[in-house]
Formats: sequence, C-alpha cells, structure tokens
Amino acid sequence: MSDDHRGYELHEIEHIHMIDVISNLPDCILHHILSFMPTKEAVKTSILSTRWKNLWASVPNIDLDDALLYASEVDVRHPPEMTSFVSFVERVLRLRDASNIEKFRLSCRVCFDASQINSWIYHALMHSVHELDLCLFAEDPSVIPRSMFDSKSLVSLKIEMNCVVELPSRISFPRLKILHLSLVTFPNDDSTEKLFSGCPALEELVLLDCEWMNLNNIAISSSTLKSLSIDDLPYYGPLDGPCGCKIKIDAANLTFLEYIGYLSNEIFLDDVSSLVKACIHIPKPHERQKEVVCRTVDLLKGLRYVESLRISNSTLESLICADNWLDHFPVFPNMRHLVLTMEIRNHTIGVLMDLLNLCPSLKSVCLSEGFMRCMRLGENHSIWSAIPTCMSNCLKMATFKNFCANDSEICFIKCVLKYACVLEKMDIQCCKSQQGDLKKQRDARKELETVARTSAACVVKFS
Amino acid sequence: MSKKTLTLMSKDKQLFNIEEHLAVQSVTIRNMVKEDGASSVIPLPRVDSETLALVIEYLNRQQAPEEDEDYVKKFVDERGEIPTLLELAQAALDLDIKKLMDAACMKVADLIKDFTLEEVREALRIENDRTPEEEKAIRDEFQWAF
Repeated sequence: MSDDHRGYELHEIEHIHMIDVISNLPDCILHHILSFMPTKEAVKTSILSTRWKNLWASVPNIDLDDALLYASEVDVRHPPEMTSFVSFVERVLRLRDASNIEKFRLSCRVCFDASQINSWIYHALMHSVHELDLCLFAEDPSVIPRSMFDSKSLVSLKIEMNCVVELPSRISFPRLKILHLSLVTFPNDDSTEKLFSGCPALEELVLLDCEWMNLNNIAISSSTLKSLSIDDLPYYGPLDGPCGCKIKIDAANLTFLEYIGYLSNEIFLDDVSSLVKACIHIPKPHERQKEVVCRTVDLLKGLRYVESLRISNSTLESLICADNWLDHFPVFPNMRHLVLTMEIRNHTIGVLMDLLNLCPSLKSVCLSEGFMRCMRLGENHSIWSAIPTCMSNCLKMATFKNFCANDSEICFIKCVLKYACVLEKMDIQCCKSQQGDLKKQRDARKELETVARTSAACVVKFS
Repeated sequence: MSKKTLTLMSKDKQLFNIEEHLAVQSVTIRNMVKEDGASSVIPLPRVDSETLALVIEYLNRQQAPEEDEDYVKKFVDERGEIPTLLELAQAALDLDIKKLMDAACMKVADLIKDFTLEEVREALRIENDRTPEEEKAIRDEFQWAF
C-alpha cells in the first residue's frame, strides 16, 4: 500500500472527524480503484472533475484491449477504427507519468502492426513491468522485443500468440515466477530448454495448446517449480508421422501437476517426488490408440505418490484398452482423495473399483458428475464380489454429485453405505437440471436417509 | 495465559474490543503494539462505528488460509453499497490491511465501470467543475475511450 497518506498520524487527525470521508478520499485510494479498471475506463474518469484530470496517469496498471474492433454490439453508424485504438494507446503511453508499470496487459486481435506493438511492449519493459500479459493474433514473431527475454523485473509473463516464439541466445528471467504460454510454436529443442532453464525462480508453468512439432526431446528441469499444467493439442499429422516430443519433467519440488490432452507427446516424469495433487484428463483416443494407452499407463505410474487425484472417465476408459493394466500398475500408498471428473459408465465402474483397490489409504472419493443415465448396476453386480480394502478400512467421505435418483445410483449408494465401515459422511448432491425428477429425488432421499448402514456414525446429507 | 485484548475507538467514540493477535493483521496496529505495547485505547478518528464494526468482523474471521480469498471477496460482495465500500477502503488504508483494501477497491471498480459519468460523480460525491469545452477536448483527445 502506498504511503502518501501518511502526512498525518492517526492521533493528529482527531479534529477532522466531521469531514465526509467519501468526498475526501486520498489519491492513493482513487488510484487503487482505477488500477482495477481497463485503461479505457480509467482514462474516461479524467472528465469527472479537475482533480480527476491526471489521476489515471499514475495508475500502475495498464490494460489495453482492441476488443471493440470486433465486438458485435458496436454502433454500426460509427464503427470504431483501428487508428482510434492506435492513437489511444500511443497517447496513454506518452501521457503516463514516469512511474513504473506494475501490470501491463495488451490484447490485440485485430489491430496489428508488429513494430508498433513491439514498441508498446518495449515501453512496458522500460518501465520495469512486473506482470506482462500479451494476447496477440500475430504471424510475425518480431512483435515481441528481444529484450523481453532478458528482464530483471518480470515476475509474471503470459503470452498467447499463434506463431513461433523467436528465442534469442541469451534468456534470463531472474525473478520470473509465473510463465504461461498459449498457442505458441516452440522453435527447437535447444532454445526451448534454454527458455525454461533461464527462469531460476519459476514456480508456475502453464503450457496451453502449444505446438511442439519442431521438438524431439526436451527437459523441463526446475528445482523451484511448484505447479505445472500442460493442455495439449490433438495430433493432426499423418498416422505414420513422428511420435511427438519426449518431455522429461524433472521437478523435485513440484506439488501440482495437471495434464489435459491426447498424449500426442510423451510425458516422462523423471522426478516429481513432492507431488501432492494431480489432475489428468486424456480423451479417448481415436488414432494411435495403443501408443496413447501405453503413455497413459506410464503417466499414471509416475503419479504413484500423489495424495489427491482428479481423473476423467475417459482416462479410465483408456486403461481398459491396455492389456492387463493392473499387472503394470503400482499401489498408490499416499492417495487420500480421488475425484472422478466425468460421468461413470457401465464399462468404467469396474476400472474405478480396481483403482480403489490400488488406494489402500483413501479417505474421500467424489463422483463429480455421477453416473451416465444408461448405467445399469444392481446389488449382484460383480464389482461387489471383492470390496476394495480402503472402503472397509478408511474411507470417511463419499460424494455423489448429479444424483438423479435412478435405481443404479440408489443401489450404488446403498452398497457403499453397507460396505464402508468407517464412513462419516455420504454427501449426495441432486441433479439441478430439467432432467431431475423431484418426486423421485424426494423418495430416494427418504429411503437413503433411513437405510441401514454399517458405520453407525455416518451422516447422509442431501443437497 | 489469557489472550490480550485491545480496544479501538471509532470517530463517534464507540469502543470495540478485539484480541491482539487478530488486531495485528492491521500493520498500523502491529507497529503501535511493537512501539509502546498499545495498552490504552487506539483512536480511529476517520472510521465511524458502523465501518469499524465491519472491520472487526473481518479481522475476527476464522477462515482456513486457502479459503481466505473467497471469504474476503464474499465479505465485500455482501456489502456491495458504494458508500460502505469506500468507508471500508479508507479504514483499511488507515489501518493498513492490504487484503481488505484491495477487495473493497476492486469491488468499487467493478461497480462503477458500467456507470455513466454522472452516476460516478454521484457515487463518489464529485463536484463537476469542468466546462463543456474542457469536456469536449478530452472526448476528442481520447476518442477510443468514449
């Protein structure tokens, strides 16, 4: 918080107690309010009164967006013009006072002149920007100033840009903690690895829909990295094309890993020994099924020490395609919380039970999308022939969302209440959509709230 | 050992008690406690009793650290009146409670960004001392913004 109100100490201002607070707010509060607004809105306030004329100019955050150029609700008689945006940005940057820039966000989806945008970003870098957030529909990599890659001030860098990111030979981000890259094409193994190794303080890395086709083999190696998310594109090339990039992850202090994608690249978890939480979603492969399934099994094997796992139904489906996946699979000794992120189907309930069997310390399980409507499950289903040990020994909390009060759902919940000996809470969240039959739900509620349960202390909660 | 309690006094002379370990979330109070033990009543001559009651409620929250951000957001959302939020921001500034200051200012920004200029003047009690010529000059200069 800024110190410019400290002209007086608390005890010295007793005499001003009758003054109206709101009409006398100090500049630092007004600056702070303006800093949460897009620059377009902040500049508008210069019209309010003489006092407000230049307040916007010392706001540390700049947020510029050419969205009006492609918005649908613009005035068709006076459509905004690109030159109007360009002259606005130029004027804002010229009229700002000399203070440092904290956050600089620039989104240019229509407006595009590489050297102009380059100069705007350069301006932010010259003002020791801490957070840079760029969304550029660019085909020209020179839009990014090369000096950006050698920045002592950047703490957070987010780039969304659908072209090759041109990496200079010297890359140094001594303070960078957050790096998000979306849609960029990595140029080659060497410079991409240099990019990651040039961030010695990196804690959060997000790689969203990036193009890895120029890469064969890279390592993401960082002892400071705590959170890594990779959202991968599907493979569009020929079926006999290359097998993607081998991505080795060596991050001894990583606690969170998210992978969403088709495993068209191979993820190799070298050292993730501190991993606590993982989220995995691998859509069912249509092509190269065998390869994807092997990679899925390998990825899950690498997660064996996690405490908390969110996993999608389709990832489980991939496992069914693997030959004897159970034989290759480790026990997850630390797993406490398991969340299934998609509807369970007839052929995945078995895999789910097998997975539960591999989690001897599980405390909570959540079916966050409940069952598929076509699911058929009775009390005599083969899954109940062997009850997973966690269910009888340590499962304390079960959550069933999207409950529609179908027979299969009721049966599943009854069986869990029967076999989970130390269960403390069964949390049932009813389906809120039109499909939910309220009478059926009320009847099921009555039945399940009073049904026999092995764990006497168990509470059944409906919501 | 019983927990030490501090007394804060609003500008309308109402007294509020709060446990010291909670009160020191305010950097201003933390510094006072460090300097002289802050045994007596701490006057807050710019904060009225309604606002101070809210600040005390905020300081007394019992949230797990990972839920704190959501709590603060909800706390200001539920008090979405601009005058209340501005009074809160001023109190948070005087007491140096960064999270509360951020949340209150962010909420105000969120509310006024869709206001007309006249509505903003009313909400922030700003007297328009601009001539129509001056106003036009600004509109012309920053066409994109209007």
